[in-house]
Amino acid sequence: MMYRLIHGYLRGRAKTGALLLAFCAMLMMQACASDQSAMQVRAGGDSLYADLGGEAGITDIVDQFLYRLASNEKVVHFFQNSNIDRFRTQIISHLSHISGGPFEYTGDTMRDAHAGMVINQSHFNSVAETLLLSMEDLGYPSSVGNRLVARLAGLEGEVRNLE
Amino acid sequence: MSWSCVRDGGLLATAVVAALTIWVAPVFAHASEGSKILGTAGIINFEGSGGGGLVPWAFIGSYGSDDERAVSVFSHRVQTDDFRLQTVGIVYGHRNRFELSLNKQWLRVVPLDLTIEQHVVGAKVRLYGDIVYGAAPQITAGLQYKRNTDPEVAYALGADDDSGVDYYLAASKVWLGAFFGRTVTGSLTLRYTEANQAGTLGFGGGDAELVGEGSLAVFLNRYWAAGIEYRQKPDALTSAREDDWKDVFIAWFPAKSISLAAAYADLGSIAGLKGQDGFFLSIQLNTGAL
Repeated sequence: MMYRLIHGYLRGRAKTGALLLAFCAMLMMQACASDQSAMQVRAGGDSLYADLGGEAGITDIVDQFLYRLASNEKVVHFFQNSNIDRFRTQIISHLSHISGGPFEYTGDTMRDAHAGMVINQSHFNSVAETLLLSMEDLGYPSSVGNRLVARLAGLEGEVRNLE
Repeated sequence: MSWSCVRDGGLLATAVVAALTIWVAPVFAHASEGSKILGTAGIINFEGSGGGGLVPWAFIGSYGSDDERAVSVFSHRVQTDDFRLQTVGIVYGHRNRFELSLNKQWLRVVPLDLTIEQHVVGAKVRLYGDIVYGAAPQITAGLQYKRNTDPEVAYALGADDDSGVDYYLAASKVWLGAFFGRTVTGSLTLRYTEANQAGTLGFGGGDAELVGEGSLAVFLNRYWAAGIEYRQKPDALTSAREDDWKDVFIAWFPAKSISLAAAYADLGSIAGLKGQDGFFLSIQLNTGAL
């Protein structure tokens, strides 16, 4: 079906026009996806928080994540001088917040929390994958990990102090 | 071992590449793993460009992220009723910005009992955006210089040249968890080409054309993806009709060091031989950050 659709599109005489159309559709799909998650977060009625297992689930994920992070040579130096207890509390609270949990996040903004750090995309990727692997360790389906990392990916600019 | 030795033995070539890479792999094992997210280095296409199987995508090949350099080696095997295509090659990715590739292809034409050999040198640069982050797609511009070293068949069919350059613009995006929590990736490529059957039947013989290529894939989980590709083709040679290409594929990313893909490809009519559909296999080994 999808195959025929694409076939039809590319077969048409206005090849370039069709491609542009498809391209716009791609962009719109993206815009819709991010709008939707933003709305869900604001509304607080978010299935991701529940799928993560609420506060208890998120706490387990963060503990496993910190355990894995400690042996991640690529990024561990960023965390070496932080107060682990405070760091742990803040991450739990932040992940709850972005997944649509009921509590307000009162910690540092992502920009403040990472101020003065030179964070490349490779570092960001590495932390994101560490989180995905931690969730895999705990038996979460990849669909839950993907959705959580998608929301974190939306904060990439702030975390990396980009304009 | 000389090239002429493997020239008519595609499988032998694959075996040689596999043996070499298995031998070389431990050398790279000490290097840290490349930092692209698993699967987001894609699959190298049969022309040596980050892709894609039949189509180059906007991905920069290999697992090196923005502060890393990395290499991938690959081999493809395509088999239809009358043709066997074998490739081997290498891709270098520089800081997720530039890609350079070298690729050798052998196309065995079974009914004629001959082999057409082609070299492809590719280059690609990331112009804008990012595969994963931000709303914008990653946009890359690339070229593929191809030289067909057995152009007799091409000339007989009316081609003008034994070498040519394809220019392309590609836009790709990975949408994390976008489809019921599954990650989706889409790609569109616009190519300016005068290559007949991707250069295996030479270049020219008609007008150069602007063609569109596209693909769509879904990651079933972190390790498996399935998708489709479509490649519009020029049809310059009056003596032999050329059809668009399409495939349905699955790709497996068991670890960052290795990726495998298998596809069912419909390549249409090639050099007057109709109904060329069959399987497409690819293997790729990726180093860590060098």
